[in-house]
Amino acid sequence: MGMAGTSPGFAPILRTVPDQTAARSSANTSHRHHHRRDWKRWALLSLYIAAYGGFIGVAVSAPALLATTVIGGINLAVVWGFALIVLAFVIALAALRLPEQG
Amino acid sequence: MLANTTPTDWVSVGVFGAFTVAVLVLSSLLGRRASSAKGYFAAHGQIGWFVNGIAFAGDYLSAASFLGICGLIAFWGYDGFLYSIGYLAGWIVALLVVAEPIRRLGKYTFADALNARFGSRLVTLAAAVSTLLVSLFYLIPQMVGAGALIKPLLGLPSWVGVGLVGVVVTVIVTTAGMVSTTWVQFIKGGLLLSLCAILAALILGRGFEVHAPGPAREAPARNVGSVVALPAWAVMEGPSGEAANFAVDPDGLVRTEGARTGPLGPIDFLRVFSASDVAAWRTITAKDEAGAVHSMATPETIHGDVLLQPGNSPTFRGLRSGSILDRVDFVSLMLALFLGTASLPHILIRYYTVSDVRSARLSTVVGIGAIGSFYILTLYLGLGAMTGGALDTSDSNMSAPLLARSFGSVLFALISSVAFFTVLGTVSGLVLAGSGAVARDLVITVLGRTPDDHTQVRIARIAALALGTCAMILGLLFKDLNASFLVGWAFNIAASANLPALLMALFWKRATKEGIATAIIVGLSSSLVWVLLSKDAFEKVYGLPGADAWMPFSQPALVTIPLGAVAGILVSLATRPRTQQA
Repeated sequence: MGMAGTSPGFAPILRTVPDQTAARSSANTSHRHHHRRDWKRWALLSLYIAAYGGFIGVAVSAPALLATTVIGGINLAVVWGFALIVLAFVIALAALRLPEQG
Repeated sequence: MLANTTPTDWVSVGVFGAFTVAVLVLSSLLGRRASSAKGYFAAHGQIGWFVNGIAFAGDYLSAASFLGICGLIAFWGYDGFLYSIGYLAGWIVALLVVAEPIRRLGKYTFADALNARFGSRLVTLAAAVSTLLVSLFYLIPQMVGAGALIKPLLGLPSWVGVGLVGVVVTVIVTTAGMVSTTWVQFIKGGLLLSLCAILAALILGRGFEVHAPGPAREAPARNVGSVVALPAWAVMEGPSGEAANFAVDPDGLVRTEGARTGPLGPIDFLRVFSASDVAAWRTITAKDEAGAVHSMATPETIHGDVLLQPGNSPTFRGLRSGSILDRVDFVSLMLALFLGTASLPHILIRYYTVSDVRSARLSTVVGIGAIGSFYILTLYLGLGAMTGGALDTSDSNMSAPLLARSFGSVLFALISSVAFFTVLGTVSGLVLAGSGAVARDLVITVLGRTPDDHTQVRIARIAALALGTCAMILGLLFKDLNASFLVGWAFNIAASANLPALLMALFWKRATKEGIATAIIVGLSSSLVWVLLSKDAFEKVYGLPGADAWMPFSQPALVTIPLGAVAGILVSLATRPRTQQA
């Protein structure tokens, strides 16, 4: 009660200062969180771009490499192609765990 | 000499008729739920995420994917599979970059999301024109596919197929809008995946067989240029009736050491194919003494491992020739496929049919699973068609349905009807996107105000009718081109016109309405002009020598996407953002 009675003069300051700090802190935390979760999103995208771009790069610069037999008598072109399709689905599943995009 | 007819198959007619009637009844039943703008354009935002995900597959797995890719693989091997890889890769961009902001910002059309920050008539107009042009370019291969399907299915000329699709789609879209379109796409997506899985299982179960002369396989007789071909593709005579000296093997079968491999697993199938000599069909043209041009289909023996590498088809041959420009052309196409999916208006508006951002993401994941599964199957379907001995050497689009025919008329009827249904689903989505752009974006721009709900729906229905008619005409004009090849152009134009503007609008605070509109206009016009003046257009559309083409390579995305982005950024920097303008 005493506090309540004496607080009006202080209250705006006492409330305002911590609230602004908290708001700034909250905004900064939210911003950091936002960046962190966006970092994961862009990392997933970068991973796929690397796999897809790598495939295109090899097809353009060293197409003979794609003829190399790698698994079970199947060449690298087929294995890489299938892997890109499967990787897309794996990334899609991983993206389910990301928070909503800001 | 040879009657070039396909006898009417009443099983096919029955299955096809049942599918068509079912679609029309569904549209009729759902029609009452589409009287408002939200119902007509966005199905009230009440579609569940799983249904929407399969509908994504139904929308996306168009004639280009089913007919075009299978056809390209059947004739050129791995080159067709490159489209499968690229088409699916684009969904990663859609999922991680645009799905959630689009759902949050948009309402009914592509322009809604793009314009959420600006409220600009200029941006609305540019986005509407882009939506219309991209949709029209995407419509062409669908109608081409419809025309190709109707010939062996019902024994009717291609214009009947094009007309039938046009009429049924117009009924679907004008009666029930996004509600019926979604359910048509959902059913079609599910059926297409299921039947293709069955077909792939049958291919693996059949394995490969050694060439053994026997009765000709049933396949439609077709004119190959000016030379008439028998069902088994033995060329019998030239145009003036004289006997030709062409005696081609009527098989197209894999040659292995054993008589039959028997059933094969998915990996063994590819391993045996890689180790075998395969008869891949090529069409060659030659002039006779009188100067008349003859076209002839003939098998070329190629080792399977070579066919399972990129660079066999005319489009990708440059990968092996060493030509820098051909390699640039390849990179440009793959870039367009990667960035095009997230720029297709008819795909983007499907995000408005779910209730929230989470559902948008979940439906994309379901869509990626369904579409990815299908694209893995395309390699088996295409190679199965190549080695099944039932190709139409003059029409690559018919490879998958004719493959089904080699397993019996019921499967053929089902696959062809689903393929026709495939065209219906995709065309419905495209016509809906286009009619939305007209009814909301163009009309709002012209009138300067938003018409009431019922007027919007009425205008959209009239626009759907007009777009359906345009699609029919274009489908007949381009009927001889491969469906997937044509879709490649649509992806180039969509990615160039829409993606830079979309990314700027969603992620760059400094973007201005003038910059967004400039990015669309520059990307759209430059890619369109490039495509129309390219070597492919000269050779395949105008019938002119490719050497006369104005552009150094055919796929413009590598140049026109950055061009649109740079133009948009420069104009944005030169104009004031909205907050400073206020």
